[in-house]
Amino acid sequence: MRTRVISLVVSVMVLASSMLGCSGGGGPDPIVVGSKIDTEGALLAHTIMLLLDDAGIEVEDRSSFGPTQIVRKALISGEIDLYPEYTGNGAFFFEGTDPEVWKDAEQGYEEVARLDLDTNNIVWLQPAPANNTWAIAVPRALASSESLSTLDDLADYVNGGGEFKIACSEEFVTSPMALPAFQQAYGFELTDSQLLVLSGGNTAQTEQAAAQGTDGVNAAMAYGTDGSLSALDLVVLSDPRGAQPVYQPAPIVRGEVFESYPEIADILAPAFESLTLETLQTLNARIAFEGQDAGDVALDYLTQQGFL
Amino acid sequence: MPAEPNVSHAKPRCSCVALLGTALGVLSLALPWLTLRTSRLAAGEGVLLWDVAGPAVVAVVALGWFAALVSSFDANTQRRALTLGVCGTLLAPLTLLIAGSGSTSLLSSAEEFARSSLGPGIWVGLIATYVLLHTARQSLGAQPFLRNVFTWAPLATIVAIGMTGAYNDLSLAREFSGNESRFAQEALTHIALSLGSVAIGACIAVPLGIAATRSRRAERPIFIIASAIETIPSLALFGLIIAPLSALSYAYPALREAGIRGVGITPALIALVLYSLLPIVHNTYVGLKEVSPAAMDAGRGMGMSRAQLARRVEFPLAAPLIAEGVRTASVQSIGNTAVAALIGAGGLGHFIFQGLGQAAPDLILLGALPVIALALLVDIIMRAAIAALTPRGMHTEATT
Amino acid sequence: MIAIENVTKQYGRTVAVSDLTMVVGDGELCVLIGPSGCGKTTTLRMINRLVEPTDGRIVINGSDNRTSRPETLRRSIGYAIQSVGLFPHMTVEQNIGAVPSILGWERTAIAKRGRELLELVGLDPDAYAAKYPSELSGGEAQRIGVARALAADPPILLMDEPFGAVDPLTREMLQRQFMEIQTRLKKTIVLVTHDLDEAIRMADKVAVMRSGSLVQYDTPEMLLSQPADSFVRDFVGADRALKRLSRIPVTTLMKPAKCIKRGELSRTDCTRALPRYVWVVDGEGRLLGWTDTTQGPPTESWRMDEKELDRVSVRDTASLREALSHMLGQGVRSVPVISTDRRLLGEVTLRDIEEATVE
Repeated sequence: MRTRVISLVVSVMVLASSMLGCSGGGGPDPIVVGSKIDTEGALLAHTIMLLLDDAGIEVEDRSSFGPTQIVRKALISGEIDLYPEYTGNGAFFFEGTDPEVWKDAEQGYEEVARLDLDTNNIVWLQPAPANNTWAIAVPRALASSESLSTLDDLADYVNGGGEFKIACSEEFVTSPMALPAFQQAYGFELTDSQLLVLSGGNTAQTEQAAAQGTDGVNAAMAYGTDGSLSALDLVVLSDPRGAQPVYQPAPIVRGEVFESYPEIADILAPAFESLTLETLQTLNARIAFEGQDAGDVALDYLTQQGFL
Repeated sequence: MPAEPNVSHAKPRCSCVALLGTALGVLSLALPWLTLRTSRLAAGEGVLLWDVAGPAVVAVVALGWFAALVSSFDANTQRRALTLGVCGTLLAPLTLLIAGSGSTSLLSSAEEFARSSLGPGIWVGLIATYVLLHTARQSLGAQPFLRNVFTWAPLATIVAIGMTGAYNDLSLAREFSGNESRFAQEALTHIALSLGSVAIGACIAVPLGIAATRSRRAERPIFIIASAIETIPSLALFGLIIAPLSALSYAYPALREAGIRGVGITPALIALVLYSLLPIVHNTYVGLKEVSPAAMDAGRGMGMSRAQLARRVEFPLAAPLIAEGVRTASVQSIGNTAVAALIGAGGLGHFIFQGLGQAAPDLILLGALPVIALALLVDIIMRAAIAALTPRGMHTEATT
Repeated sequence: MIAIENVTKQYGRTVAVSDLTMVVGDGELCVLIGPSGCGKTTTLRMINRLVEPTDGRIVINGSDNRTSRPETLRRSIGYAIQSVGLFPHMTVEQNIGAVPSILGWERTAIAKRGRELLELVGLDPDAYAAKYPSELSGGEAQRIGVARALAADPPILLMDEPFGAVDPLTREMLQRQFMEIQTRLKKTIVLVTHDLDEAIRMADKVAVMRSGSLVQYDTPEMLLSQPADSFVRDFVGADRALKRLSRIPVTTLMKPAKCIKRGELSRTDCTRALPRYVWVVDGEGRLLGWTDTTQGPPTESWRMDEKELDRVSVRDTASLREALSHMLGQGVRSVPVISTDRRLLGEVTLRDIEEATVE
């Protein structure tokens, strides 16, 4: 009796480990679609999957795969086939590029598309017009009381001695394309006491901090298309001098897969073209703020717009 | 005739642990039971018990805690255990039921995307009921039937109430319904990854443990390496494996075809297997070393070959300890696997990190609570299995 | 028969056993005894090849013990050690059946044999078969160790202080029981002990060892009456004359005792042709006490206090040593020998013992 129980336990364990090796059944390999672990990534991934599926291409859902570096590695190594990436990130992926290139939407896109195709055989498809770039957001109350609507206004406010504390990530402070770029373009400089640095910080946390006024924070690092902005009553300060690079989301796909399915470009392009800044903000809000499932939100949008 | 010393008025001894539990329970009544937020991202406001439950219900809860408080001073151990057990069995599901129905009523009059989460009062209250049930079970050590009643009845009641949908308006439940299909997939991945890695680890660790007992020269390096691996934080270990594994899979496309790539399940699996080594190697080593030398001499002297000695004496005697090592490794693995989501392996950590990314606390709970529950479940099941499989003559206090 | 021929065992520079030669005959119980480190345990373990000799050989029943594989050899030799080494994860029945199980016996045969052996060592099979070693007392465990050694009915038994780990009272009982078993089974036994009384009581032959060498190999009587050198003389102790008495059962010197039946005698008989003190028995011959015939005949209901009687009388299984001890303790010159049911069998006198003991 004892030996029987032991062999049962062993076979359960073996079964568990064999489950790990399990992959899909026969037929042509599905396209594995991944994304970063964030709201917009999940939204775009589901958008892509719904469109491909509607066109009769089999897809495998590996959305919310990991942070940027992991997802990129996965694409290059072939663990996933396709995921949405931002044009501006080309500056981080490839060394020695001209920083000014990234500040122009078209130039930036062409540069990263060329480099990725040459170096990694990765094809960049039609981007969305939304610019999900770094921004500084303040609570609406502060914006109205101090009449802040552009970063110029902010520079005046700060230089005039106004109370200011911004919650941001380490990267925001140190990356030359982020805060230093703002400071240089608009002529202000923040002291250490005006910074609340969250290591590994993401905009959800910084925006919550600004909205709640935690630790005296009254401004947040944000991304242009963040869903929580309107929900938390935060206002993005506009960047008239163009200090920031452009980050447009675009589907990027492995060269081999694109060769097998060149029609992907046409399937995805119209939908991506329709994704403006405001559209993405609204859709992201539904996921982050209302708590809807990313897939449901994507399905809703695509059906309403007639893409499906 | 000398007077008998008067021993009948001994001070009533209370159960201090039970007292602590009931004190917490009474405290929980004053804390906010629910947290109402305008959205899943917003800060919440505390809502007190009597704002969400009618006076009758509040009276029942208060009565329950009061009864438990009085009972913790009861010197009659049996009666005290029964009272505490009954109080705990009633209060735990009742607390959650109030949470569920309270959420429903709060949300009916709140904004569209408002959320209602479990507040500090409920958390403290649940901990307090656990203390009550635990004390009751301890005092009933010799009555397995009652012990099992007080273990499973509260859980069964909670689950049964849940099936009627009473908890559906809690934020946690809302997060779950927003992620249902993904949840099942990630839960299965989590179980497969954590337990599968232990199974593989055991196949490597047991022979290593055996080798360590047989050879002094092998013993030191085996333990040094296994211990060193254990000290590396999990995320760091995952990271360390990704680089060489990626390089390897580039160099040999055959590996890529086989699904072994730098990110995803493979590095996670390798790391988790490495983590499971030490507990199992250690317990195998100790288990074999602790086998009675007299029994070994008797076995040899009666004519058992090396193989027979190993099969009939050494391993059966070392088996309970080795099994304990596997149990330790399993529980540990379930926790470590939560980090695997960060390198694309999936698992329940997916919800934890998504929740962190969105700053949505209940989404984090959606990932964290099942990991804890899974670890406890695996622990309980394995303990029971080990106890059942250990022959009566070998039971020590630790295994019963 | 076990023939140890010029066996030497050397560990590095230490010589544990040096050129040992001795023969243990069939059915003999040979005891190896000596101070710590004399090589007795090493010698024992060389018989079943748990230790391999550096030189020399051991011939068992005509063949060198190296001709077969060690495991095969050991399965035909019973092995019982001081710490018993019962397998904690097996029941008593499974423990006893260990060797039969290795030999491939059928389950029913093993179970039957287990019950037989439990009865043999005086334990109730129904009560003990399903117990685990952790539930046994020290004495019970040692008995089961012996049962396990006997399970496959081996002709040879090797025992290393098998009764060592229990209190003296239990040990004596175990030794007595074992002797009864040996009388029945007549195994060839080599037993290692450090307890001289045990050796004297149980052995057919005793081998006294010292620093790896055999000093004297003789019957216990010879050992006690003619120790080979001063070492042996000191080893067996200055009281060896008394020790010899413990080898001689009372029945050897017992003579018929003068006794009368209670109520049989009249006043006049008392003074005629009877010694002054005489034993009184009842109708079935059971001893009731002794009486002074000058005091007149014992009445119909007369009897001595049983406790007092026990102090004076010895059982027929006792040795002369016990008889002497009673005499010295009670200050009498003879003791009655009674059977299990208290029947008077005879008497032993101090004079008889004196004559038997003189060297």
